[in-house]
Amino acid sequence: METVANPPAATGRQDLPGDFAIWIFIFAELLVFGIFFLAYAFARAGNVELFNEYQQYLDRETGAINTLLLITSSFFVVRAVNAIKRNAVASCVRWLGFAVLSGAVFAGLKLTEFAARHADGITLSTNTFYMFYLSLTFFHFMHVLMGMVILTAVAVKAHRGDYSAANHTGVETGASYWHMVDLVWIVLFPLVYVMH
Amino acid sequence: MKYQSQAVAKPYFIAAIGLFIGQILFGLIMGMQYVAGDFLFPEIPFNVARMVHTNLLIVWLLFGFMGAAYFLVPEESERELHSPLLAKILFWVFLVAGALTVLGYLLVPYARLAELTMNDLLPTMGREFLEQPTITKIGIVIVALGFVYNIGVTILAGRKTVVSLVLLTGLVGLAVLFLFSFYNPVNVVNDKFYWWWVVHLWVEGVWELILASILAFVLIKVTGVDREVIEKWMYVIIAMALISGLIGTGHHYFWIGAPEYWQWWGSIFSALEPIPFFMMTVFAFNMVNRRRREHPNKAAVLWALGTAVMAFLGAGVWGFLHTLAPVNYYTHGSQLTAAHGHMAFYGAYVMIVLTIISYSMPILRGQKAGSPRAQKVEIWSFWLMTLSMVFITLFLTGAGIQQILLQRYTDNPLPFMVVQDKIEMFYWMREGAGVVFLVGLILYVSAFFVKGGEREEITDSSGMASATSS
Amino acid sequence: MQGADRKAAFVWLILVLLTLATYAVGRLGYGGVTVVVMLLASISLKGQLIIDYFMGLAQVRSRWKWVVTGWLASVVALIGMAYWISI
Repeated sequence: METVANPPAATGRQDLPGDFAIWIFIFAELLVFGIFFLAYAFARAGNVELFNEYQQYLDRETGAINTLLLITSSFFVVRAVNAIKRNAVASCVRWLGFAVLSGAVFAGLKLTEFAARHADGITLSTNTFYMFYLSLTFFHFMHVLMGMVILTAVAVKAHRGDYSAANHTGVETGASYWHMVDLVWIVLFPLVYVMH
Repeated sequence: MKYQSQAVAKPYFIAAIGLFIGQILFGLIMGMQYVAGDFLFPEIPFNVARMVHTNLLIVWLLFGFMGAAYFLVPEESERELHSPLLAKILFWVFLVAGALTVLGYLLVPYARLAELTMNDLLPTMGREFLEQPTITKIGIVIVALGFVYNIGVTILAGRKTVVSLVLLTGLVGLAVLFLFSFYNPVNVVNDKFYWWWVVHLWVEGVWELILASILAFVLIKVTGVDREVIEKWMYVIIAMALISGLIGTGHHYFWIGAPEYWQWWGSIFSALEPIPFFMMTVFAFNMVNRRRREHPNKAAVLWALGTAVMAFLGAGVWGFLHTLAPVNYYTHGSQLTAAHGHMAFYGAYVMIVLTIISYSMPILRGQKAGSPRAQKVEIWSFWLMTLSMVFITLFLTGAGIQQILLQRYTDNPLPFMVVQDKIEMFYWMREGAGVVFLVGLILYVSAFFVKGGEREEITDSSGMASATSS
Repeated sequence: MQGADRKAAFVWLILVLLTLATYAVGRLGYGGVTVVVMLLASISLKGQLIIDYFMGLAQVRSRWKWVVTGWLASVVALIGMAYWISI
């Protein structure tokens, strides 16, 4: 347990932040996404022209805005964890609220993106590139929703006064999951939307 | 026994073991027919033997699950079962319906059975594993509903634990998914698509919840490790099992006419299916190593650990061997599938039912554990059955690999029956291992009748109090 | 702002700038070996910043933290390989 309210960089901790069980889960999730990314990359190696052609039609603007939203919401979550370490419960709840809000905007933009693809008649069966694009982004989208549920639950518990500077493992557990959702998108966006 | 109503589990367990013996006998008949095609023809044709072998497996496992639920739910909920009478009635309904169905398979031609049971009113027959006449299926639904009601009311009215809630979720899922066996579209692609919702989502979905909760219950009892530790692991294992198992259904959609993206989804997610099984193995050994007491029932501890290991090998490793679409293109429906099916069913589901029977039967008979001599016999039966199943799996794997090389993965494929002749040796060895399995099973049954040695009688409830302190 | 918050804000700023750079590359339609290498380097840097300062694993001594860094490194390396063989 941390006791320092304002930890200098030199102090460390032995264990991963949050409950160890969430990390088992995070490792498993990273493995799934990792396999999915590599499946994309190697499938692309066999269809370079197809992938390069259809990548152009993706909505990079929304993708970039969504990246900024996730990074920012991850930052908000860091602020929430720092706040609870100072016993600033109200501040912790507020930052968590901002993070969930950013996640909601991400999800909303993602839905408009899906709707636009749907209106173009694009499905999982259109071609291999779109199969990967829709699968990867939808699978990630589900994780954003899951992360929002977790953060909301943490915020509610924090609001009820369940967490404090001495006991904030729950906040760190939710935070770790959310950062994982961010980390995965950090690979996904350049890979699927930009790189060719 | 802490609660009187737990006793209703006993007939369920006895019926389960009885049907298990029948399943193995028909397995041996069929194994013989692999090498001598007209063995017992025309009395028991191969297709009938196969149907009886697989149907008996499902029915006896269901008996085992129900017995397990009736035993552990009162103890977890800390109250008597809602209605022991209902449990007894449903037992006889299920047993009689099951027996009549098997007799129907054996005594009349399948088409005649369909006529007799008025299959044409609501046609559901004729599909692998779901061969039961429609009225039997309706009977199964009624039994399942009554059973889930009985268990559900008990759980919801009493102490709610993760173990009992996960079990309830699994049992409700089992009942709900079985409803898809009534959906029988004319389009064969649609038919197969939803057929897997019963078959796959049972064994690679909701049954895993039942398995995890029974295993957790036994581990809590025999190790004395804190419930909270075990529950946390259960959450993670179950989340992984559900995510990989549900989307992993896609590995059955590779070649049945479903869209191509299932080859990716099915491959990627089912490749993850070994992970929860691996975690279960780590979890079981971890708990036993951290045990806070030496439980006298050594045989039950062995069965629990064996379940975790064999489920990982059979379901996890042997499943992974042929789950990726490019591999499955060659291995689909070969003897490799049979190898996986045998070890997965034995390791995951047969063994978990034997685990709970091994743990609870002595208690149901008023002892804490069987006598040392009885346990010795039971441990022998464990090794005989488990090792012979390992060999059955290895022989079928050998047969499968040779079959694939001669018939599929070659420029000059040989005809099916020519290949069958060439792999006959493996079938003989498999039949030999099957005989050893039967010997193991007979030993298992006889362990219940072994007398002698000192028994640990349960004299008062305080003796059990320590066993249930968590 | 506290020290920890200020550090997080600084990391956030770097992440935003790198994201805008990635977007610009996509917008201009650049491709080819150099661009792929730069994008992969950018992914590695952004990912490691998130791991170290957002997840806070820089301060963790447990060896488990290397699973996350190892994941990032292997994913980036193998993506690079897949692009390399497609040239």
